[in-house]
Amino acid sequence: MDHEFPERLFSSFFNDDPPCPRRHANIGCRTSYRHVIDQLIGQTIEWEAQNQVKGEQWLPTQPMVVPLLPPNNTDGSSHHLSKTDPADFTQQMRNFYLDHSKYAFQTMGRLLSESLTHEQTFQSMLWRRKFLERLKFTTCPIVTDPKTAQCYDKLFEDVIHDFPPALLAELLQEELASQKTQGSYQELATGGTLGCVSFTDSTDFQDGVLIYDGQDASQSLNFHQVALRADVHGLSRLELVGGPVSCQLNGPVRQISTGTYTRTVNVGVRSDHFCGVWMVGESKRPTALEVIHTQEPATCLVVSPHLSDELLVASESGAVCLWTVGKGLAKVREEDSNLYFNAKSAWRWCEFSSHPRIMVYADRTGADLTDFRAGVDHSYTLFRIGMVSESKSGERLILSRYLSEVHGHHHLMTTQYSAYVMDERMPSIPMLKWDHGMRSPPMFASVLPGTSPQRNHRVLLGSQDTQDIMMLQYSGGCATACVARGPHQKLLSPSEAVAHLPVRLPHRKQAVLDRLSTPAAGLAAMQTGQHMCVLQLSAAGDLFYQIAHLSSGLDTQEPSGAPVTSGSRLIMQRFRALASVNTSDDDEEDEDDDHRTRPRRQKADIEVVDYSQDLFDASDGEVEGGQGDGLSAPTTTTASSGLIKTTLQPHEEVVCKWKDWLTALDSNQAPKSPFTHHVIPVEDLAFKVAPGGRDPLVELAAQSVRQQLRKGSRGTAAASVLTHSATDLPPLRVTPAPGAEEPSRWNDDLSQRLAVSWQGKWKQWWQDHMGLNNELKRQELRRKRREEKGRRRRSAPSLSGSFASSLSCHSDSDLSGFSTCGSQDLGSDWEKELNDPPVTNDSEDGPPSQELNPTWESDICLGRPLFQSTQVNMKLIPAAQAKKSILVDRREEAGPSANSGTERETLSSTPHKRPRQTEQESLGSTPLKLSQRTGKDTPASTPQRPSWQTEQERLGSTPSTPSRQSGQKTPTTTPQRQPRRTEPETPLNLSQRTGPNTPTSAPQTPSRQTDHKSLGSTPLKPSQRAGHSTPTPTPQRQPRRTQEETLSSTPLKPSQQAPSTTPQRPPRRTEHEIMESLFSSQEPSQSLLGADEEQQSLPIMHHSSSSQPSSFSSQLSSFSSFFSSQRAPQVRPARSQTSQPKKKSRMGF
Amino acid sequence: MDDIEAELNLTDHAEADADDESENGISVRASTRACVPPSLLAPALCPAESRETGFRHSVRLCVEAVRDAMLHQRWEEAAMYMSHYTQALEDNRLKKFYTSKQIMWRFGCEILHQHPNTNPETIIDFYEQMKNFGVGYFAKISLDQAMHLLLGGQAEEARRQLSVAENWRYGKQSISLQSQELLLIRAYRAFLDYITWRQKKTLAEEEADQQGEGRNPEMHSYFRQACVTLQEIIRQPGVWDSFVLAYVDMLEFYHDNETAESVLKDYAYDKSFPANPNAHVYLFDFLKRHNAPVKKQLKVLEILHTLVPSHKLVLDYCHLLLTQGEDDQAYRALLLIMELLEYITWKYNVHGWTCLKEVIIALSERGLEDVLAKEWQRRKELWTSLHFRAAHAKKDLEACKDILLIKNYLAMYHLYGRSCEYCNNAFRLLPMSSKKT
Repeated sequence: MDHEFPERLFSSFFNDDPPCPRRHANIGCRTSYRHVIDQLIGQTIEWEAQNQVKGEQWLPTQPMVVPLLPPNNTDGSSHHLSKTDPADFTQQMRNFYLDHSKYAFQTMGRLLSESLTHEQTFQSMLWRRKFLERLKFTTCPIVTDPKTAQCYDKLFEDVIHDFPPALLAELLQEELASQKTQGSYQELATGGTLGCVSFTDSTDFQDGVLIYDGQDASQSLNFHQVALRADVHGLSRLELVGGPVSCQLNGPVRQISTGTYTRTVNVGVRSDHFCGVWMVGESKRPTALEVIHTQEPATCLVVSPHLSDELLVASESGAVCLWTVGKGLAKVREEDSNLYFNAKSAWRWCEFSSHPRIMVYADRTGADLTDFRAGVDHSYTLFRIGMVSESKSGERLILSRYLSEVHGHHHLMTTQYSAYVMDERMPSIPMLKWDHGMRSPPMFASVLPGTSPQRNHRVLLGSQDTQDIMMLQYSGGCATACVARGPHQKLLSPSEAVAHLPVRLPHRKQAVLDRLSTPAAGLAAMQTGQHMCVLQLSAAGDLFYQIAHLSSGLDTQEPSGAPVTSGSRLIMQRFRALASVNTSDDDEEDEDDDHRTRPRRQKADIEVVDYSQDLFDASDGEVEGGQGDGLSAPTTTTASSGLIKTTLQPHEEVVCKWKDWLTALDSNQAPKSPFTHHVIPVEDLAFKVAPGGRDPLVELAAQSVRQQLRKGSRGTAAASVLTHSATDLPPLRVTPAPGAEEPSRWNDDLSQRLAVSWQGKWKQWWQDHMGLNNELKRQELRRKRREEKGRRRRSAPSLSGSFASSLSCHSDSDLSGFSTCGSQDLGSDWEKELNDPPVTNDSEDGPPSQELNPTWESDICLGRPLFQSTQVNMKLIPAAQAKKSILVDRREEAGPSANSGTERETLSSTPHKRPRQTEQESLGSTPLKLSQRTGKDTPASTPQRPSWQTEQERLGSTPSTPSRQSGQKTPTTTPQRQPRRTEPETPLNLSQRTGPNTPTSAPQTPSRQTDHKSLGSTPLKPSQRAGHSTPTPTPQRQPRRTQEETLSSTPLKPSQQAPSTTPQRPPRRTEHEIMESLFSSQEPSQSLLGADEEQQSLPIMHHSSSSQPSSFSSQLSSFSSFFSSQRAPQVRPARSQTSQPKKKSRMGF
Repeated sequence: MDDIEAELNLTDHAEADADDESENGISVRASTRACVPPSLLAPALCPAESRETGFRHSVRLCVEAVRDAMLHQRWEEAAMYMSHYTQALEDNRLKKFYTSKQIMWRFGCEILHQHPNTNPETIIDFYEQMKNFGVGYFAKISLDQAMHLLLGGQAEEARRQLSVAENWRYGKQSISLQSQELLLIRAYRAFLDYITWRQKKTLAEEEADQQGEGRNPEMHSYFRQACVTLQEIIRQPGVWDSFVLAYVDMLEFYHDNETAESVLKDYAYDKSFPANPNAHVYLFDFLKRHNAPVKKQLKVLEILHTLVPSHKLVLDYCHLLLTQGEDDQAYRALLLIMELLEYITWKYNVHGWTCLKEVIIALSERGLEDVLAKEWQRRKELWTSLHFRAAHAKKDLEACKDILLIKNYLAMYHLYGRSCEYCNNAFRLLPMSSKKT
């Protein structure tokens, strides 16, 4: 059927434009439907998309990969040495001189040693030593006879080196640079050093041979027979049959390529300068057929899938040779540059194609089909970077592979971004394109054909550095066009197994992690019926496999759906337990959730417990034996480290295998010096402990403790907290923490001065101490007395008096903009404090501050820089001394008396006279406009401002969130007089402006259920109502505002007015809230939990771009909207919003 | 072409320096080696920055979490993370912003498609939201939405969406950046018009059968609507199999065969188009339908053969050549069929081998055995290892007994003679297989 060509292909543009110059990120998922094609079935039309949503679901049978071989010892070789940072040049040079001193010095040393005597001068010895000391240079630790060596050293300086250090350094640096780049990407390893040959013709794998590179220092090639068997439970597993057949090679293996099986199969092995071909049969021992030596390093070797004993070899020079075993090489193509543009790469690749005499010749820029039959010499483009639509800048061909198993005409081409399926009958147009989204380019590929026409073909892509294996599915290609199916699926990688491994000591865990996360070196796959086995070879020579099974429709839900939910729910429940979110409302919702989740959750719990039990049973013997360093308490750690996401439990056998593997690894990793020089024997120093050395009583106690621990950790019925009584251990001695020091206890000058200077009042203290301000004090005292006298003279506040006071208020307000600002300096707290009256105690006010008023005034007169201030500073500063008396008068009445308060209120409510206009108003851009603006038009007239911003501001400025804001307050910066005077005013001011609308929202109490927006206005109400009689309790509860807070509330004006509008305006949501609700509507309860979780771990979305207060409030608003979206039914459904065209248009950018 | 110089600017300088300093081979090789790898690593989806704020850091972690959950098919978890990711949209840095929109669109769409609790309305809602919010992808998203509707069987709604998207304009975005997608939108809209036309046509035909006269004026308006746009799209270089067939179908119905032929010829022979074998197949089928002269048909097939020597129409080509009766053409038929059989996909195909047998018999009837012998000598080596080893006999028998018989006949009487290994094996296998049957 492969000869058929699809009757209709999916539509596509044919672009020959240069790719977009911007380098795009590799997003990588099923992009879109891409294109559709119609099929007329009877009378109805069926549409088929090119990228289909649903595909086969393959589920891993084990939660982690399984080691197939015990770890070999590679630590003595390159792996260990590479730990030195390649960039650390001096260290590398030092290493060289130490490790290879023979090469570095031997020749010259021998030549010169005859003429060297000990009677050399020591003149420069001293200087040299000093110099080295200054350089902090580590001297050679292996010098046995320092005198002689120093003589040599001094005499010959750097002449003694066999290599001139400059040359050596240059070469070394070059080598290090290339090593560094190769560390991330080794293009020589393309193709992989793992091969697998099945001994059957059919797609079902039963027996076969694995061919893999030993990867150790011995550079061996191993052939190992394997069998894929199903055990009693129906689970497949891979078994090794017998021992490996090993061949020693001359160099490291770079690539293994296998042919198709016809009684025997050819296996091609590529090394840097040697290529060999082996013959493997079912009953035969692998035999080497021929080995060739290439001048240039070979970059590719492929075995023909069609004809036996034919191979293609490509080398860096650009030549491709057909290698027929027994007949030698025949050059079939040569190319001294890159195909389509200069990619500056020497990498060449070749593949066979559907005709045995036509090959694919590829380099980084594209691929050509070359016909190398005798007498025919033409080639045409199969694939070209830039010609495929949507190619990206910097895209390069990474690997080309002929998919002979799936379709005779199909080729797989992979780049860093995409994977293409090309049909050689239709060059330049990809039949299929995936964005694979792998983090490092795919260098290994394996393909598994669908076992029946209904089944999908699977393409496995493996990357080197990140060990990712991506599985992509597709079907079609013969009578119908190729169709990609399902989402990308990532298979397990070895490094992920660490999370499932038993707990180990940190350094051992690190060693295991290092070992498991070595780059991949090969990939192979096999399948049988409903199972698929994927093998991965690591650069350290470890071979891991995993088996996935095809989930039928029924059990799709079981392993993937339910446990996941329960797992994530479990995590969230924990968060919730930690958080203990308040409000009864939340709890109600929770209960609802719990009804649904409880059975599942319980199930998950049980499963986890079972798992731990299993492990303990399995490891019991080891623990009893006393060497149980692992497998101790997997439940807790695994649960918290994300393992819980899949409740798949490793099979006992797998656990045992891993245990063996780990034990073997530990024994391999016994510390072994990589250096061969100068070992100091230290056996004599061995520290021996006498067997009877310990106190028998202590020994007994220790044993009992051990027993208790064992019992407790096993989780039996007797499991209880280890108490002192149970262990007989002496109780721990508790050292009491030292109490807080009271600075007032020290009466000496120095201590006082220090204490005061911490509060920033050092200058003040000093003046007091020195008596510099005695005159000032006296004046102040006198003035005060005068005022008191004057006050006594006036019996009661007359109407005229109050009028005068209001007048004074008015006139004051003109100046307030200038005067008060001086007191709230943005940047210089310090300075301000120096000028401000020193305040030591919040509750006590009076003498000191009043005494110091003159200084303060004088400052104002000097015209200090004016900064914007807040309502905190609504206290009026008299500009002229004459008005002071009136002000003071008024001030005294303002607090306790109700009359003056009402008066003021009535006065200020008239729009023309705005007495006590706050500084924000006067300093804000246009105070008049703002004050004139009514509540209704505020949001509408500021369309540029997103709605959430105003909400934030409102939230930021509400006095009703003391708990949040109180954390930020810094009492030292709060001037004493502020709370007294301003607090009664602020709420009044606010309430004035909110006007008649406020009472509508008044009855609501500030609970979480209410809209956050109304919070701003709620506390105002009591103040308004009670304002006549008392100075209101709210102001006292209200936290004193720090500068930070007050600054955040500077744009308060519009928001102060806004509360009146809240009832009329539906809460507008930003696009992210809407998107959020889309996802959260998938599983409302769950996302609700998620929100809780997020609130606990607040920094997860910490907005940074704006200033701190607004980011904080933006979080608040988003959370609040999230909650409201969950609860308020009129907001939640996104559909209702989309149906309204108005809102849609608002969302556009 | 690819702007590689710009990409490798840094390495270029480095290399030039190295070359200047030393002419020896070592340094040159080292520098070429060194310059390759960096460009081969794709930029990360959400790259870590040296000085990263907490917000960006958590966004990065969130993207990773979403990706990881998606790749392991944990859709609920992915949805949960995605709902948190929405806050990344508030990042005000432009570049990031565009990326985050794209991530939002592609990941979000995929999650909603795969989520077990998904419902069609949510997906449609999501499309609607994304359309307004990601203006840069408006056309793409609209097209995808229409396809989603089509796959869901809502053809009318899809058509409505396409017409809405057709009229969308947004400055530079719609003119230069998304012109291709907008063209596709129009093409699909036209194609849906064609499908409506086809349905009306069948209805009209049924009516005509019953009442003797069936006229449907509405149908013609659909034809005109579809015609204009389809004409436009198939002028663009690309693969337009469905659209071309639709257009030709309509033209044929209105007996405009000349235009139809020219359309098909343009589609097949225009140099700027990719070499699409189907274009030639359609042209050949059209000519055959309209009883075009054999020479014309042969010409089409000849070009098809040069493009795709393994196409199944090559068999038809061989038969046509044999019917011509000239010796040259018989020889050409032999070349064609032998080349065809060298392709792996034809190795076990009965029709191919039957055709070869027919050609060889025809040649021997005309006394052209020397031609056959010459050709055989040229290909003997390859054919022996490819087709006529002893092991092939068993495989042929497994594939189809007829192949074994034909190959045995050819090997014995025309190619090798009685003593070839294939024949020996075939003689051994044939009685066994007959016993089995």
